[in-house]
Order: sequence, then C-alpha cells, then structure tokens
Amino acid sequence: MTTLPICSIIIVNYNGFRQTKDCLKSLQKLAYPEQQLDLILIDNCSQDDSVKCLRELFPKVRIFVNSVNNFAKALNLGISQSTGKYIAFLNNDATLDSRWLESLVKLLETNPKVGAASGKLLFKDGRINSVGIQQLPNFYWQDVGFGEKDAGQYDRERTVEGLCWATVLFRRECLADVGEIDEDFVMYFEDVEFAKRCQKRGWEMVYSPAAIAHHEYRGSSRGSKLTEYFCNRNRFLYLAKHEPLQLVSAIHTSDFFTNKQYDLLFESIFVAIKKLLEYQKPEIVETVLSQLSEKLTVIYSRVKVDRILSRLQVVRGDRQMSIAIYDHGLHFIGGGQKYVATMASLLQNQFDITFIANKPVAISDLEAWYGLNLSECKIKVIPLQFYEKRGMQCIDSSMITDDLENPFDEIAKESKNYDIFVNANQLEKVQPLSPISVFFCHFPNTFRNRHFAVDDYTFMIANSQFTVKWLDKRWNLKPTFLLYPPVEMATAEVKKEKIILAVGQFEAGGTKKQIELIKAFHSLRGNYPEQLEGWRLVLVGSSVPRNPYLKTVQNLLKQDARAIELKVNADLDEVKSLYAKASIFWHGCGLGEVNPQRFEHFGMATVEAMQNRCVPIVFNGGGQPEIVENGRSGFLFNTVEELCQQSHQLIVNPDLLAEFQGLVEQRSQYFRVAHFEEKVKHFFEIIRQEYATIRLPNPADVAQMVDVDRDR
Amino acid sequence: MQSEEIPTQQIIDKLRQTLEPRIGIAVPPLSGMEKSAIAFEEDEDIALLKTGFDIYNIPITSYQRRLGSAVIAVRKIVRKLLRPVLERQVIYNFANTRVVQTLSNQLQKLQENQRTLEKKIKLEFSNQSPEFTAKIQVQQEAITALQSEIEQIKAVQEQHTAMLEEIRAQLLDRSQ
Repeated sequence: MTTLPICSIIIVNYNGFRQTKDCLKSLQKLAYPEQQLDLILIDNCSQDDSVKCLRELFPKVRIFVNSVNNFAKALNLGISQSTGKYIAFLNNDATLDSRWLESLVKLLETNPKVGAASGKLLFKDGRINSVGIQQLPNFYWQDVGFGEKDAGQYDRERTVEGLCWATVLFRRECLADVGEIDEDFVMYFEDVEFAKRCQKRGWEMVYSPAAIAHHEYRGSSRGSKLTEYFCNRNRFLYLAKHEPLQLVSAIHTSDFFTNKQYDLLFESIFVAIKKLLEYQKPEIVETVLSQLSEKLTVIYSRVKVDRILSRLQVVRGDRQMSIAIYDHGLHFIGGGQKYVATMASLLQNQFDITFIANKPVAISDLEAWYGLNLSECKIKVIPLQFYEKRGMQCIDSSMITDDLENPFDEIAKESKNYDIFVNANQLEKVQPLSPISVFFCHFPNTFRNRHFAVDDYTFMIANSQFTVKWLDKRWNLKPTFLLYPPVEMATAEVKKEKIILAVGQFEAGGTKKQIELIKAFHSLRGNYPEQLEGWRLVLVGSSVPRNPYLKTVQNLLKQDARAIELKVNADLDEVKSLYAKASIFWHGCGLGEVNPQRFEHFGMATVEAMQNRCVPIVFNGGGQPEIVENGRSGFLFNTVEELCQQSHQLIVNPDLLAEFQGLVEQRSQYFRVAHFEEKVKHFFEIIRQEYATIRLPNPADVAQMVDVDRDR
Repeated sequence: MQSEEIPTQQIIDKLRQTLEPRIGIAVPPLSGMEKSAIAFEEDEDIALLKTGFDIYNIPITSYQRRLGSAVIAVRKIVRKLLRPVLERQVIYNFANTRVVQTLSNQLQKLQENQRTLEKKIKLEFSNQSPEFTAKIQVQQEAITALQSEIEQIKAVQEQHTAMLEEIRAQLLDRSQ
C-alpha cells in the first residue's frame, strides 16, 4: 500500500462545523495509508467557531483561512498549499466510502490522459445525486442521474462532459495545465467552466461507478435560491467565456428574465460583458456587443446600457474616470469657483476633468484668477439659448419659473457623457444623468419647484454648518458631509500698521455693508479721536462698472473721507500687501438682515485675513461664527456699537492685539488647503475604487438578500 | 451639527446602492419625491401653505385673445420690478410655513403623548381596581354600619326626648 502516491484532499468550510466534522471523520476510515494523505481545510471566513473546534478535533488537518467568502478562491488557495500528486475536492457535506480514493487513484494512475475522475455520488436515501454533468439545450447544466433510483443503470465506467465537484479527484498536471479556477464565479458553475477548459486542453474526465460517495442535499449552502442565483449568474459568465455567440439568446431563457429579476439580470450581464472583453477576439466582441446592446435597450433604458460599457472601460483600466464640473458662473471670479477649481487641480492627475461653462472662459483664465495649475483639465462651453437670447451675462436660475421649459436640460444631456457629474454652484434645476453625481451647495438660494432636481444627486457636499442648517430648512435635505472651502492667502510677515481692513465685493445690493462700516469708523473716530490717531479704514473689493452702490459709497466719502481709502478692483498683489499690513479686519455682511441669502455663507475673506494675522471683528451670523470663536480667535458683533467697542478695546491695548494676532493665525490653519485636499482626495478615491471594481457577490449577502425576498 | 468627518461606509453603501442596486445593501431610503408625497398626507391647509408660499414663482397667463402676450409681458415686467419685495414675502411665507409645520408636528406629538398617558392611566387604574373596589366596599360597609349606629342612637335619643318630655310634663303637673 505504501506505493500509493500522496493525495491532497481539499475541503472548504463555511459555518459548517457539523458537516465538516462528519466529512473529516469519514476520511479517517479511508482505505488509504494515512501518511500518504494531505488533508487541507480552507475556511471561507466562517463567523462561528468551527475553525477553532475543528483544529482541536483534527490536529493533523492543515487549516487555512481564506481572505473572502469565495468557494473558487478557496479551492485555488487549497491547490497552492497542496503537496499531493492527486488533488481531491470534497464538499464538507459529503462523505466518502472507504475505497473511494484508492479506486480513483488507480484509475488515474493507469490512464494518463484522464485529468479528473469521480464516482457515483448518492444522496443519503440512496438516490443518485450525480454521475457526471451535461449541458442542456438552453445552456443550463444538469447532474446526470439526478434524483434517480440507483438500479445499476450507471454501473459502467465512461467519459463524461464534466464532473460534479462535490467529490472529485484531479491529476495535479491537469490542474496546472488548465490554470486557476475562475474566481469570478464565486461558487457554482465553476466546475462546468473548468471542465470546458479541460476539454479544450485535451484532458478526459471519467466517471467510475466503483467510487461511492454520499452527499447531503444542499447541506453546505443556504437552500435552492442561493444556488439558483449563482447558477443563473454564472451561466452568463460561462457563455461569455466559452460560447459568446450564444450569450444574447441566453437572456430570454434565463430564469432572471422569466422571473422578472431584471436587476439581477443586469448585474450578471455586466460581469459577463467584462468576461467577453477579456476572453474574446475584437470581431466577436463587436458582434456580440452590438446584439446585446440592441436586446438590453428593450429591457433597460439606453442610458443604463451605455453606462455598462462606459464603466467597463474604467474597470478594465482602459481610461481614467471622467468628471464634469459644471459651474454656471465659471466666467466670473468668485469664491465658489475657486473652491471647485482647487478641487480640480487636486484631482486632475487621477481623473479626466472637464469644466462645463455657459459663457466663454479658458483654463488659462482660471489658472490666472486662482493661481492654480489646471494644465490637465479641459473646458467645454455650452451656451444656454434662454440666456443668450436675452444677452444675459449672469445665469440666474430663479428666472426659470414653473411655466417655462428647463433650459438646463442641455447640461443634463451633456452630463451623460461622464462618470461623475459635479454640479459645482448649486444650480438646482440640472438633472444629473451620469452614473454618479455630486451637488456642491454653498447655499440653497431657491425653493423646491417644478424643475428641482437636487434629490436625484448621489451625494451632496455643503460648505458650512450655516448652509447645512438651511439645506434642511429649505429643501429637507442632509448633505453627505461638510467641506469647508480651502483658503491659502498667507503672505510674508511684515510689520503691522494701524489699518482696519474690510474686503468684500461692492455688490449692488449692498450686502457687504461698506456704508455701515464707514459710519462705524466715523463714529469710532468721533468718540475716540486721540486713540484713533493714525488709524485708517481701507475698503477693498471688486465692482462692476456703473455700480450705484459704489457711487453711494463714494458720495458718502466725499462728505468725510478722512482716514478712509477705497480700493476698487485692486489686483491680487495689492490685496495681499494690505492683508499683510492690516491689524484688524472688519466684515459686516448680514448686519441688519433677515434674509439668510444676504448673510456670509462661509466667509473666505475672514480666513484670508486671519492667515495674515489680522484680527477679525465680524458680524455674528451666517458662516462667520464657524470661523471666529468669539473672544478666542477674534470677535463677533451683533450691532455697530459692539463693533466699535470691540475695535476700541484692541486699538487701545496693543498687547492684547498682538496676542490675538497669534491666536487668529493659529485658528486659520484649520481652513488651509491641506485639510481640504485630504478630504477631497479621500472622497473621490472611495468613488474611484467602488466604480472601478466589480465586487464579487458574497454568498452570505446573497443568502440574506434571498431571505429578504422570501419574507416579502 | 453636521459632522466634518467623511462617512466612508455611508458613501460606499450609497455607491453600491447606485451602481449595484441589490447585493448586500439594505432597503434604499426614500427618495425626495417619495418623502414629499408622504409629507403631503397631512392637513390641507398646511399642504396649501407648503405649495403656495412661493408667490414669485407662479405661472403668468392671460386669456385675452388680442392683447394676451402684451398682458403677459407687462405682468412679467411688474413681477421683475417687484422681485425684491416679493422675495422678502416668499421668505416670510416660508418661515411661516415652517413655524406652522413645526407647531403642527409638536401638537401632533403632544396629542400622541396625551393618548399614551391616558391609556397608561387607564391601565394602571384597571390593574389596581380590585384592591380599590375592595377598599371602597370595606369603606361602604363601615359607612352603612355607622349609619345604622346613628339610626339606633337617633332612636334612643328620640326615646330619651320623649321620656324627658314626659318627665317635664309630669313635673309641670306636680308644680301646678
């Protein structure tokens, strides 16, 4: 008997202590020298304590734990660890008669062309489970003899199309020659697929009635639904790999189709197309894909079918994921625009980024305005006829009342061409048609209306707690997470001067409150003339030509312009220089307002000032209290009197002012690009990984899903 | 307060739900449309407030044959001119709607609480009633006993009064 070769027996266990114990016990009774047996147990991530118990009960069995719950992968792991000349796969719910192994080894020893052999597999009640497997006309496969009474009708040794892997013995050379078991199959049909490859490589598979084994009917898996799911899914994978021209006709005969499980059909076809692309020649791929596309469009929408092919390009690594960043105000300089431009600069090497604008603007403009490198990004201008006809420079979505057609459908149509569509400037009427979409909200300016499409976005990102609060109030929506805008305005440290700086656009509606700030400064100077000696108020901001608000400010200064300077449309260097020199920063946006739109939704200028050690005294509203911690990193005021009082406190106490300058600089670090970069990259990396990976179904999840279906 | 942390698992779940709608994912949350459909199963007045607060964004039409388009144009211009005022009104209306909605929700909760409390009190009372009934019965028996005692005392008193009257009459007769 010692002349018998070493045989490895691989058993896969998943939460199956009882069955595996019986199975291993049956191996102890094998009429085969114990020292020639190499017993391997692969655990498929069991959640029970079967591994611990089996290790104690069967110390001679080598136990390995698989990284995922995947039967095919478990077998590959077992093969890689095996030492035998012959390798058996044994289901943990099967038991072997004492002569099973010896008879099959002898068969393989005497027939070198035979790659694998198996015997008569019987149920516990004596009926036949399998004496080989065969293909049916509808591309399903079945066990030969399944359910039949064993009356000697299969007592002749014969070559078969395939063997059931509940109990099978392989020649090591055959396994090595044919290659690894396809792990995309997870479980079921992997035996069919491997048999096909064996045939192609010229290996025979033989059924031998002398080798008897018993099998508990579906003892190792959770019932027929799980089996049905994997058999149906894997049938498509098999066809894509080995009979591609039958793939299209197999759709209508699929159980998924007849049971109207279109989502399961969709997922299966998706993986099958991946297999098709991997294994077939281009001409076959082209023929099959065109037929498939036609067929699937009848079942699903054209958009959904197109998405399969597009995503597979990313899965296969043929291209990077594409992102469209739509900003209707991209042609203007603005904080929101800087926010997304910064994001694009951080992602441009990992993603294919295209900006979508409605008015002419170039990448070089964005680079110059925001001091960024956007060399890998593209820009596409899509003019909107509604606004073009009216000669409007500003795309105002609130003009589109319920009775009008949605002009943003043009953008929606374009969004289909990208993997991710980013609506960067909260335009609530753009329907996202890309597989993944992100809505950046700096404030919910409008109310829900006929064209409101924000509910359809996959993710929403808000720029401040203030915006989060109003998103809930106005749209009843909660953002996925909060992402403060990145601010990077620190300049070289210079000696501070007696300057109070106010930075904000001279907006026509007067939201930045320059008039109120001028009056406050006049009041401060009037009340404390000696202490304010040498102090200046500098108002910096952009303005459109013929701005009536700016005119009012200028008229006010004509009456008394002492120690007050206006810097309209100053260049970036001048602004930086003023930040560096100024000691105090004033910001009055929101003062006396009730409309939340007229508050500062975040307040980038405040952070810019703080990064330059300029102590902020800002209105206590909007996003400002999220930046300035009152009394710790600046001051918050509710009235002009408070503004004057807090300013006076700092002006008369240079030590306090110096102390605060250090504290505000420290606080401002929290809003620097590094923090923003980390979050942006992390978020998009999660998306990329999920999108570019086809997850293999976990049998435990599928079983749960099947249970849910049963309960319904 | 919205967390600044990136909810990695939530994002992964959402992506899987979007890209692979079935496997390994719990029942998807309600969409915005479904949410608003549920929200509208409420008081008609609140529903009207919710749908009608936006007085700016309303369709402008005219049924005049000849001057129809001119009327529409004029109305649109007027609306545009009134925009700042109308916007304030819309915001005010919206705030009102929210307040009414919040109060209505709170009232509903209070009513529910009241019903729960009533049930609880009834239940507690019914649990304790045999004891109470027994106590009341004992009390009632005691009261009945007392009443009969009082009746007896009254009868004795009446007897005594009659006897006293008799004695007084006899004394009067003697004195005369």
